[in-house]
Amino acid sequence: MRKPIVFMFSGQGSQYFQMGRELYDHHPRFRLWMDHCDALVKDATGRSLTATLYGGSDRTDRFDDILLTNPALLSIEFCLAKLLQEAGISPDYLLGYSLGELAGSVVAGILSLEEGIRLSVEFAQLLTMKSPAGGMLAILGDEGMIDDHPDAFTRCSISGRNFDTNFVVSGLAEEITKLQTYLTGFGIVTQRLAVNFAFHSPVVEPLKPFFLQMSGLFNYSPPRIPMISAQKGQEIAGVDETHLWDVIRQPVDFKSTIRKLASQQDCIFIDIGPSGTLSTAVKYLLPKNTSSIFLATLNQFGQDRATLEKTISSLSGLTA
Amino acid sequence: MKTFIFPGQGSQAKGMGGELFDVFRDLTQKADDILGYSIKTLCLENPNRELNQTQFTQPALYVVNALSYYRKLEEAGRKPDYVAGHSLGEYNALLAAECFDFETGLKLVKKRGELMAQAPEGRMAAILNATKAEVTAILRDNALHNIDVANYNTPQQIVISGRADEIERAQAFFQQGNMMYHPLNTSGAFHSRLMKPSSEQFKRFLEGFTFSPLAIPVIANVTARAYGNEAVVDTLAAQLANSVLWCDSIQYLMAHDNDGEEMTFEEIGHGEVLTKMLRHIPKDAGLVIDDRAENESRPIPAARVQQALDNRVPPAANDIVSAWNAKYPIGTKVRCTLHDYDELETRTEAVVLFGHRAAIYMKGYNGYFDLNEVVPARA
Repeated sequence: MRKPIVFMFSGQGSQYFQMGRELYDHHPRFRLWMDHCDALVKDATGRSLTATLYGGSDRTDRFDDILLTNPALLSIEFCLAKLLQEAGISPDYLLGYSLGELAGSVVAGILSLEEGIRLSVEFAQLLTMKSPAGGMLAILGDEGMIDDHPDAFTRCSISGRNFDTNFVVSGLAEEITKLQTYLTGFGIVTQRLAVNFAFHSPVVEPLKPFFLQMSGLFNYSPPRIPMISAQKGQEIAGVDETHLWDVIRQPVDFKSTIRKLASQQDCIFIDIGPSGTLSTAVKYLLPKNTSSIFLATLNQFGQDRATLEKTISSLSGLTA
Repeated sequence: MKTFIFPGQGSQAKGMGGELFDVFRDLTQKADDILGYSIKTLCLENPNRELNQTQFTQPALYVVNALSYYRKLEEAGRKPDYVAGHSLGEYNALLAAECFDFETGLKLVKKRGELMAQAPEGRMAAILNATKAEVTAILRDNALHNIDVANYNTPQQIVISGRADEIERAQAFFQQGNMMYHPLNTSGAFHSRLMKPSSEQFKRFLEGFTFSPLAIPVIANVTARAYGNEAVVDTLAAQLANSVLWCDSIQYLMAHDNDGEEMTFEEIGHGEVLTKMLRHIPKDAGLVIDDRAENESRPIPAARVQQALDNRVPPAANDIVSAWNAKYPIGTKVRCTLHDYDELETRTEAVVLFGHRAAIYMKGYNGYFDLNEVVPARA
């Protein structure tokens, strides 16, 4: 029996300028779907996604304008999933990490692509209007460090558990800056995510009524492909506005979600995000003797086509 | 010249109808009595998440379309010259044409929604950037014999419908060139042959009603022509299991531009699904409407429409293909006259692709080769 294939959709912070550029230039199917998304993003925002994404900015420039990063991530993940599906790789599960749950919902058919893009844009508009400036900080180290530095963490909260030595905290922008400076002083490596909001923390709580009202107007169909939520830590029956709110407000526990899944069965985990962050996390989460495998489709270091082809060819051997 | 167009399934959304339920209190009450639940609560609050279930979606859309129409009449003070509706929306077009009253229409729609919700499982998918001829040719050439075309929405947007496994299998054939395949989330294979039993059941239900002569011409989905007064029962029953010829319907209406006055369209109901489609439907220059003859027009039987659609493969490609297959078996060594590929060996019989192209597939190659550019290799 073949191993189940899990498509993993990453969230805010995994985006960068020029993501997918090589595919856009050389892969006609990717370009076709990306242009299709671009038309829908233009309808929703009045701005061109591809012009911004593939315009003058370097991939090291900070891409943090949520009005575009939200639909950009959804679009690129949708297109990557399409490419794999068109190559005959069909997922048995879709696993969403934070806003990756929205991309997963579109691939599952819960929302149409158009609705998904519109929701991502309307949510971004809500954030820019109603949310205080926040930030997110990935910390390389054990969560136990919080006990060693209790005062430093009081004004921030854990928003994501990725693997044993990698977790994320969220808070108001100035608090995150303070915390980063403090931790750097102790030689602890941190990475400020390209996100200007404190997702998965009490900072976004005031958005709740507005978000529920806005997202409640969308049609949610039952999923065609089983969905796993990294917020709920397990398979979910469906997605609606209340689940999406939990996704935004509650912390993400990628660590236990993957551990639980991998302990039940060996899986093929494929990162459908632009940075390969989730496949890296899976690498650290799998037990030593596992037969599960992990693959990326894109990364920040170029060689998009080669990476994608490698993933596809390694899978055609496994799934045939 | 003005046509009102009414949207069907897919245009529903929580919040639709807004204040219309309070403006038209009597009609809303009548709807509640027929349905046995509050239509206003369903549309505005959707507390049990039923709005997206066919048996609830259809009455909800019908009521919102109808109330939107009544308000439009109050504002405009005059009726449109023509009406048409997409699938479920056709009931609102008939209502506007006074074929039946509000309550009767709702009873029909309620029954239709129930029958469709109970229909055997099936799937639908939208195909973008492929013409009618390409879609039908691809289905035929790849032995997807149980898939029907459900909607011809625009020249570049066609919806296919059929058994779930075949619809899924079809994806592989709609990912060449610019074609795009979008699976749709419907509970059944609407407007396909899988709906035939429901269509027959519905026909018996429709026969229990009396319909009035139409006060405004209604363009029927199954024929893309105006309804005949005698044909209401047959046309509505046939619509369930036949293609929605929306693109043709709009083009037919666009051709009604006598005296230089262009046809204008207005979407009546929630959202702008049909308005967006309109942007992609060009006028058909070849279509000329003779108004004198129009009064005599009667719906063409659906079977004839289907036949016309199926007969689109130019004989040339067919002839080339059958001549090849009669002479050369699979595994024939061939040479390409256009490019220098080393060893070519056929891995399929020749097929007609896109309705006009004689093609064949080779071992080790993914795309098709044009049969006109291939000759048998000398032994």
